[in-house]
Amino acid sequence: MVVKIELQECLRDSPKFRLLLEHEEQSIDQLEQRLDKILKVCGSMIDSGKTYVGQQSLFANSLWDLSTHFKDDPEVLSSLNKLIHSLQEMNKFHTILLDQASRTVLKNLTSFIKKDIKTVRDFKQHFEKISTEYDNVLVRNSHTSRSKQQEVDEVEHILLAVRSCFGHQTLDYVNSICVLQTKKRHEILSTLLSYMHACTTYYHQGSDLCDDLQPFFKSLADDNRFIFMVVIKYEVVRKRSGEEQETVMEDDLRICTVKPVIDGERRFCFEIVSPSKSHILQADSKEMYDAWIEALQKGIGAAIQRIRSSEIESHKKRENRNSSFYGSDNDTSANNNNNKIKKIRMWEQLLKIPGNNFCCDCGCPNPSWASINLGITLCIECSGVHRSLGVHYSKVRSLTLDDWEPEIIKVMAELGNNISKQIYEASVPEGVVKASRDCPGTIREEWIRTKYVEKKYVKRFPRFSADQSSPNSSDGLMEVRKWSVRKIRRRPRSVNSREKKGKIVEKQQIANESGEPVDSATNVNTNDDQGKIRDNTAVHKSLAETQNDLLLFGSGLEKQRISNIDLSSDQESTEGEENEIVDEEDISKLHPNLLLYKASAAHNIPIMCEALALGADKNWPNPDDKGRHPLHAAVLSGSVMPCSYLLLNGAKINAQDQNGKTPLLLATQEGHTAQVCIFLKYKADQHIEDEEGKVPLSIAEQKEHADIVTLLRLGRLNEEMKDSESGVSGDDMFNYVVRDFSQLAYSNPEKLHRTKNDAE
Amino acid sequence: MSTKDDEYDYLFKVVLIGDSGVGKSNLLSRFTRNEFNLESKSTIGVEFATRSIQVDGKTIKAQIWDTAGQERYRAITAAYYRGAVGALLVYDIAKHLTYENVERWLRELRDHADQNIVIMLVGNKSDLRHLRAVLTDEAKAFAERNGLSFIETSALDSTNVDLAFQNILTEIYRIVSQKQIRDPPEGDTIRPQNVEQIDVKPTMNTDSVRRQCCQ
Repeated sequence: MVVKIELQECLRDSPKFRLLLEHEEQSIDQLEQRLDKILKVCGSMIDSGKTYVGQQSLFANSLWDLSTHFKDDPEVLSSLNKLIHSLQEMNKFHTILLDQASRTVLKNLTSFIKKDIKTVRDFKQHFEKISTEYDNVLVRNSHTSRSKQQEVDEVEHILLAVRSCFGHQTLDYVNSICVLQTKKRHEILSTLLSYMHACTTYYHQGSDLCDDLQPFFKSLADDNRFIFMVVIKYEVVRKRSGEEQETVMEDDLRICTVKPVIDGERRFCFEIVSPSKSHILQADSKEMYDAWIEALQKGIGAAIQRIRSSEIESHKKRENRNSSFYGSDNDTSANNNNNKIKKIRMWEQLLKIPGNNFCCDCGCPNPSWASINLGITLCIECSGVHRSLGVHYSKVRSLTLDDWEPEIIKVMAELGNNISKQIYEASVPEGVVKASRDCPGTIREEWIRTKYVEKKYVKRFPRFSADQSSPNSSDGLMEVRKWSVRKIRRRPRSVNSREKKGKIVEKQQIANESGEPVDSATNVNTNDDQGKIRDNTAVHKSLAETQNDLLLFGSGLEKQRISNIDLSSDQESTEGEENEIVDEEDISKLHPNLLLYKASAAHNIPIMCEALALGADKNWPNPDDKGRHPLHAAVLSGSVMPCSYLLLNGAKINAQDQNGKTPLLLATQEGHTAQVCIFLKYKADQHIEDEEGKVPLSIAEQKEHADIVTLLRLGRLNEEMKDSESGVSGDDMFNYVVRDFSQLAYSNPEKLHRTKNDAE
Repeated sequence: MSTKDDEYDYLFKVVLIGDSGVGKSNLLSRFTRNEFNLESKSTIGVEFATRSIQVDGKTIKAQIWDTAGQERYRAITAAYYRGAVGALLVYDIAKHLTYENVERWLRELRDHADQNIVIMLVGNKSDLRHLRAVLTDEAKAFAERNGLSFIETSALDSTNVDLAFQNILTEIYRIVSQKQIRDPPEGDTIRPQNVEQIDVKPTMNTDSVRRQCCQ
């Protein structure tokens, strides 16, 4: 605004002039206040800006720190350094901008306040002083009496002088106001203008910098994409050449699977899954996507194929290695690879078990999951349902990803989908919708739940419900007075340890059976051939059949047995056994509980499975046999399998019989190293005393069974290490030794036998 | 078993080897429990004991495996040596045969143990001066030739027992701690997994960077 004070008014000192003046003064005060405020805000703006810049430079510094991480990767290092440098450049620009703000806004406005406004204030002071003086003179003039001419003259002179002075001062003052009011318009605008210039420069510099960097950014992005492509290619290349060295994304395609990712937002995604991780990759197009998946699948297939030939060699190699505790473990990767190979082999072996190459519940081919307590293989969908049943019904494991202990593999080998179906699908009523490959989830769930939880399709003993005179004579059940369970025999791996049963080892499973001398009338002695003929001619609907008046469980199993499976045999199981069946029981005692107990004693897993399916109590203490549980009976059978099977199905590991003996104590007493091993693995309590106050360790020491002593002591050491806070190493060591022992028990059982014999 | 040591910085597995009857178990009981049994029976299987010592202000827990010297207990050889970072190879100074067999034990170590295992040759029963059959200098020279440390002990009168264990554990500690600075551990060895790695990053850049930017 322009000052509108007329000079005439100034000189007249009219009320209007005073009013205007007051108005102008207020305006200047206001201006000053607002400018002060601007200065204050601007100051704090600059301060916080400086803080920000400081933090940003710390950020850059921390990035420099990061870059040292890549000191061995020149490619990343140079890119990273360039990026950090750009950031620092931008930071510098920001600093300059803040500097400009402080120089323009702060400095100019401060000087405007300090100088220009102050000038006006000074003039105002003078004006006010002269104004007061003028007033005084006027008053004096009016008070001067006419009689004193000399005084009158003097006053008139003063009045004249003061008036003229007042006039000057007024004009000066008004002038300064005018100047200020004019100057402020220019001053403020120009200040802001230069600040804006600084801002423009700042953004311009940033823009220039970005322009300069644009090619770099682009190449960097391309690089990244390029690297990604290379990674994939490595996989392809490697799987073709079979080289283990060029580990990029996955060490080993053989343990990977490829599957499409459908639920993700992005298109054309697929996933490469390996035991330890998964990678989700995206293709450019549907065609590329299909090509990738196909290529990878082929690659995996080819890689797996190639293993088999090189497998034996690498296996030998591994055995000659020692781990190195100081050096970088070169052989860990080799071991890992070997594990992977082993896993794949194991998978193949398990799928060879009759029925196992199709999901046990829906028939989907090549299942990659298993239920270890049911001994079956499953597809991924069914495994999901099994998981939802809870671990007391089904313990699900991956055939490809998980580690498999030998004793679990053995249980799997004993059962299999065919046997399981004979038990769990023995009597499926017509019209029941079975789960099929692509059936809806509800049907699948219903089927699996009915099958394993309600156990609806398990064939009950007709012999129970039917009284003795029931018209079942066609089955010959009328005559049946006794029942028994056949012992399972597997072909031993190493024949040398089994000379004394030379005849028996010829057959994978012997089909003969012998009655107990107690009942001579039912004592049937058949040789292998006769047994086989009988088996072949019999009609097997269940796993049991009748022979004369003996109902023999497990005799019908032979047909499902496979001849060439390369899974470990149960070496210990038949030590010193002369009988092929367990003691006979009266048919009136045929009950799932006793069946389970007997089957455990006969280490006949399929019959144990059937007994459990029939609702046997896995912790049933047999009142006729010292209150022993099936697990005790399994221990006394000498075999690891039934112990493992019972433990998998939730048998109590620390169960005590009437004499207070736990399975662990019994196994120690019997000198069954491999059983001790798995009991310790399942964390059996070795401090439970029997009625004589003995614990397993004292018994093992007394019996001088070195291996069991070692295992038990190791278990104690492990407890001790665990009690102390950081017992990881102890645990590892324990697990390792236990693993060592169990491997030994399965692969070279004669070593353990020798030890035992030597010690005796 | 020994007293519980709840916290330790390092855990080292040390094995005791040597012929039957040279006094391995008594060395162990002397070191871990300060006990000695003149009538002790031959060891069945493997015995374990632990004891912690201090080196450089660090607590080192020794997990000592003592096996029977007899052949018949050797089913678990691989597990016995697995992860062992030290071995006390014990012979009886009064029985020359046990000294002659040291070579055989060294071979066994070479076959089964880690190649970097620290081995100390221990001539035990040094109290049997009048029956001495192996000269100290001879054994010392043998140890030097084979890169072993050497000490004579008596589990009976406690001479040098603590020192023997102390020495081997210290030696292992030196190697392991230096190794840890050189390259951080990986893998599944017995090396202490509870020890926090202090990663000393090179301090390059940070200073120069600070100068070069904005301040």
